[in-house]
Amino acid sequence: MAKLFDEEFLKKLEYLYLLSKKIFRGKTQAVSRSKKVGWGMEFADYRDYTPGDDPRYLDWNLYARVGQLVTKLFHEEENLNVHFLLDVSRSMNFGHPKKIDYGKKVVAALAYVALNNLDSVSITPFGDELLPDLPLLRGKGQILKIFEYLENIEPAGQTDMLRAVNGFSAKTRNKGMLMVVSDFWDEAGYERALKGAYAAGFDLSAICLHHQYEANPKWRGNVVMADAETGKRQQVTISARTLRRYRDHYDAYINRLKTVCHAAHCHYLYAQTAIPFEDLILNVFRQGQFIK
Amino acid sequence: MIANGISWTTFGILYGALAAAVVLVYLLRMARRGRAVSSTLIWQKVMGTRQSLWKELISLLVQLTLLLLVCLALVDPRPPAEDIQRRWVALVFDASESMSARDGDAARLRLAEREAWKLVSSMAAVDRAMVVSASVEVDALTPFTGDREELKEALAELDAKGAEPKLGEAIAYALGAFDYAGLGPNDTRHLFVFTDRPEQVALPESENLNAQVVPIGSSVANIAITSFDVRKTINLTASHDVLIKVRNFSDQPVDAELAIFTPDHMIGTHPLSLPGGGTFSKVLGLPFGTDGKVTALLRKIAFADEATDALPSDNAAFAFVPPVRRSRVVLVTNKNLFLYNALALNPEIDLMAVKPGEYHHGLSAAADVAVFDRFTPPEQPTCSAIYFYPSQGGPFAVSVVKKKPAMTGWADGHPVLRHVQMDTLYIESSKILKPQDKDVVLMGHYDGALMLLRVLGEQYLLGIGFDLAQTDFPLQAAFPIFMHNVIHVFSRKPEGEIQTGYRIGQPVDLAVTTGRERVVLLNPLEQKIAAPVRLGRAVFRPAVPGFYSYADADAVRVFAASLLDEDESNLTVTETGALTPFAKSDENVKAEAIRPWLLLAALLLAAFDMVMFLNGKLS
Repeated sequence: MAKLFDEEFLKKLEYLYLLSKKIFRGKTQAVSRSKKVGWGMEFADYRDYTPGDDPRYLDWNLYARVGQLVTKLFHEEENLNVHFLLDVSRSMNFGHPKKIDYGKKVVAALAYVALNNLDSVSITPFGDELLPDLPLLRGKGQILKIFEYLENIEPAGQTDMLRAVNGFSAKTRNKGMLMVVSDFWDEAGYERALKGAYAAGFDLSAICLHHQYEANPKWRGNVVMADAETGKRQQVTISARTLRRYRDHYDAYINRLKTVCHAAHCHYLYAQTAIPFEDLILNVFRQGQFIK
Repeated sequence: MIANGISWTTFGILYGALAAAVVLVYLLRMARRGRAVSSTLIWQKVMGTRQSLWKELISLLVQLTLLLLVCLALVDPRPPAEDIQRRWVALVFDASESMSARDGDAARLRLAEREAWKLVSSMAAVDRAMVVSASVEVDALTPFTGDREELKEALAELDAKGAEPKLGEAIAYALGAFDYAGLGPNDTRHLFVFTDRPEQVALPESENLNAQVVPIGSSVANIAITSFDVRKTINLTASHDVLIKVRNFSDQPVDAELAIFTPDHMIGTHPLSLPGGGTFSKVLGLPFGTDGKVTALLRKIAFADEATDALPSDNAAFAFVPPVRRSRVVLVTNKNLFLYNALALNPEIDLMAVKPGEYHHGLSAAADVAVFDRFTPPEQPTCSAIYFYPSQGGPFAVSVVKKKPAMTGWADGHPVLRHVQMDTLYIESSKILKPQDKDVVLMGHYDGALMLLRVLGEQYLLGIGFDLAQTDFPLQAAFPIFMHNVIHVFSRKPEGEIQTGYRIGQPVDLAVTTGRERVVLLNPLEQKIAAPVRLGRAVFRPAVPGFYSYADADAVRVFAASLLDEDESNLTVTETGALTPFAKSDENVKAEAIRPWLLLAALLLAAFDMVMFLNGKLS
C-alpha cells in the first residue's frame, strides 16, 4: 500500500491536518488545540504578571500604553486521538476498485495526516463485531506499521454497526475523533450507532463510500441479485421505470444518512469510488471541512 | 378444422419442442447464479412484495400462449374443405403487339389490366387466381394465389411483344393448372381470356368451367408496313431490291410519306395516298453498294378523319444488308477487249489484267479467279481458273482443233449458264476437251466437250475449247452474263434471297463462338440483354423493332427485327362485351380470416408482454 502513495502525494498530505469540532485533553504536546491554557501558539487570555512568569510572554505593547505588566496566555497545543472504525464487512468487497481497498486508502491517508501532526491514531476494523485493532500509535514513523496492518485486513462478516460502536465506546477511554468509514449498508440500521458514538463523547465523522453502480445500476432485464452479506437472493426485473424508482429510494437512503449525521453532530461525507483518490483527499475532504 | 399450412402432427411436435425449450429456459433462469451486489436493501424497497412467483408464472404463461398462437398461425387452420366454396380463376392475356396499340386513353394491354383488376378486386379472400401471358410464347406470371399484391404486380408486368400469340397453348396451360391445383368438391373454375381478337379464340367446353372471352379495345386507325423484303437484284450488278408493302387498315383515306434510308444516306422518299383499306406495294431498287442498316419509315401520317395512328411500332421496318465483297480476278490476255470489258464493267469485280509474259504463279494466290485467254501457265494456279483455248500441259487434255464443231448439247440450268442461251452460238473452230470421270460437261461434242467444269475440292476449273476470236459469243448479250455467273459461282457468293431481317418475337439463331456461355446483345434501346448459350446455340427473341448487335469472336454482328404482320397491324375489333365482377361471399372471407386473427392476437400479446415488462409488471 505504501507504494500507492508517491512522494509527491505524501508531501501534499504533510501540509494538512485534521479538523475536530471538539477540543479534547491530550497527554503530550502536539499541534492540536487542547483545553489546557499554557504556552502554545493560539492566544487565549491575559493575566497579571507574577514573578516567575516567562518574560517572553509579557505584553510590552500593553505595558507601553497602560504601564501595567500583563502576561499573555495561550492554548496549549496537545495531541489528538484519532480513531478509525473501518467497515470490513463483505458488502465492502464490491466494485472496482473494491470499496474496502478504497476505504483502506482513505484511512491510511488520514492516518498519515494525523501522525504528521503528532496526533495519535488507532484503527479498529469491524463487521458483525469488533476485529483485532491497531492500538494508538504516535509519530510519523508509525505509518509503515499502519500500512502493513491495513494490508492484512480481509473482508468478513455482516455489518452490525451498533454492536461495533458500542463495543468500541466501552473499551476506549481516550476519547477523540472517531471516523467511521463504511458503506452504511446495515440491515439493523446505523442511526443508533451514530447517536451512541456522539453520546459517548466522540467527535464523530461518517465517511460513506459507494460504488457508482450502487448509485446508478446499469443492469437491464431479469436479474437475480445476491446480497453479499446476507446471501439473500432477490429476483428483479429491471426496466426504466424500476431504475427510476431505485434511484428515488437510493437518494432517500443517502439523505436519511445525512440527516442522522447532522442530528449526531457528525461530519458527513459521501464519495463514490470512481472519484480519483487524490481528488477525494485533497479536494473533497477539504471542502467537507474534514481536513485543512 | 383442417390444417392448410403445416400438419397438426407437425404442429404438435413443433409446439411441444418449443414449449419445452421455453420452460427449460425458464427453469434455468430461475436456477441461475445471482449477481452479487453489496446489498439488496434498496432493491427490496423498490420491488416490495410484488416480485413474487406469480409474476414469473404469468410471464411463462404469456410466452407459452404467444408460442401457441404463432404455431397455430403456421398450421393455418381452416374449416373443412367441403365447407369452402373457392373460385379458381385463370386470367389469360393476349400479349401480342396489337395489344400495345393506343386505344382511347391507354394501351389495350393496360385496358385489359384494368378489367382484370376489377375482377381480382371482387374475388373473395379464399379465391385464387393466376396470370398467364400469351405472346410468341406462354408465360405464367403467377401461380394460383390469393395475394392481391402479387397479382397486381403480375398484371403490371404484362408486356406486348411479337405476333401470332399462342392463346390456344395458354388456355391449355391454364386448364392443366386447374387440374394440378387440388380443387375441392365445391370449387369452381373460371377462365377469362383478354384479347383484341376475340373471334380467333376457341374456348374449351368443359364441365364446371366458366370460360369467357373479354374483348379489349375498339377499332382504331392504323397504317403499317406489312412487308419489307430485301434480296439481291437478278442482274449483273451487286445491288439489292427491296419489296415493300404498306397497308391502310383504317376505313378512312390516309396520306403519308414512305422514307427509306441508311444511317448515312436518304435513299428515297415516296409520297403515299391510300384509300380506306388500300395497299401500296412496290419493288424498289437500292442503289449499288447499299449495305448495312436500311430503314423504311412511314411518316407524315394524316388520316382523313384526323385520327391518330394507334400502333407506331409497325410504321417502321428494318433490314440489315450484308456488305458486298468484290471478287478479285486476274486476267491473263493479249488485249482481248471483249473479255476485258465484260470483266472490267462488272462492278462486283476487282480486275487485274496482265499479259502472259507478266504472269507469275504468285498472282493467282491473291485472286479468287484467274482467267487465261489463249494461255496455259506451266503451273496450275491455286485459285479457281477459266481457260480459254487451253494448250497441252494444263489441267485439261485437249485434241486437235476442229472446224465448226457441232455442239451436242449444253447444260441448261447450270448456275454457270443461268440466263444464258447457247443454242444460237456460232463457233468457227475449237479444241475438243477430254472429260475425266467427275467432270461436268457444260457444252458437249461427239468427241468430248467444248466446255468442261472440273471441281477439285474448293477449286473450280473451267475449260473452254474455243478461242473467243473464233466465235460470236462475245458479241452476244449472254456473254457478260456468262462471265458474271462464272465469277459469281467461282467466288462462292450467296445467291438469291438473303436473311436481312426477322420478325419480332420470332427466334433468332445467333452465331456463337465455341466455349462461350452467353451472348450479350445491345437492343435498339441501347440496353444490354444476355442470351444464354445452350448446347452451342444461342436463341434470342427480339421484342423491340430495330437493330440488334452483338460481338462474336472479333466481329460485331448485326441483325434487324420488325413487326411486319398484317394480323397484328389490323386493329379492328369486331366484338364488344363487358366483364361482370364476382359477387362477394362473406362466409368465405370469415373462413379465411383465422390466420390473420391468430397473428394479430400474437402481436397484441407480444406488445402487452413488452409493455408489462417495461413497466416492471412482468419479468
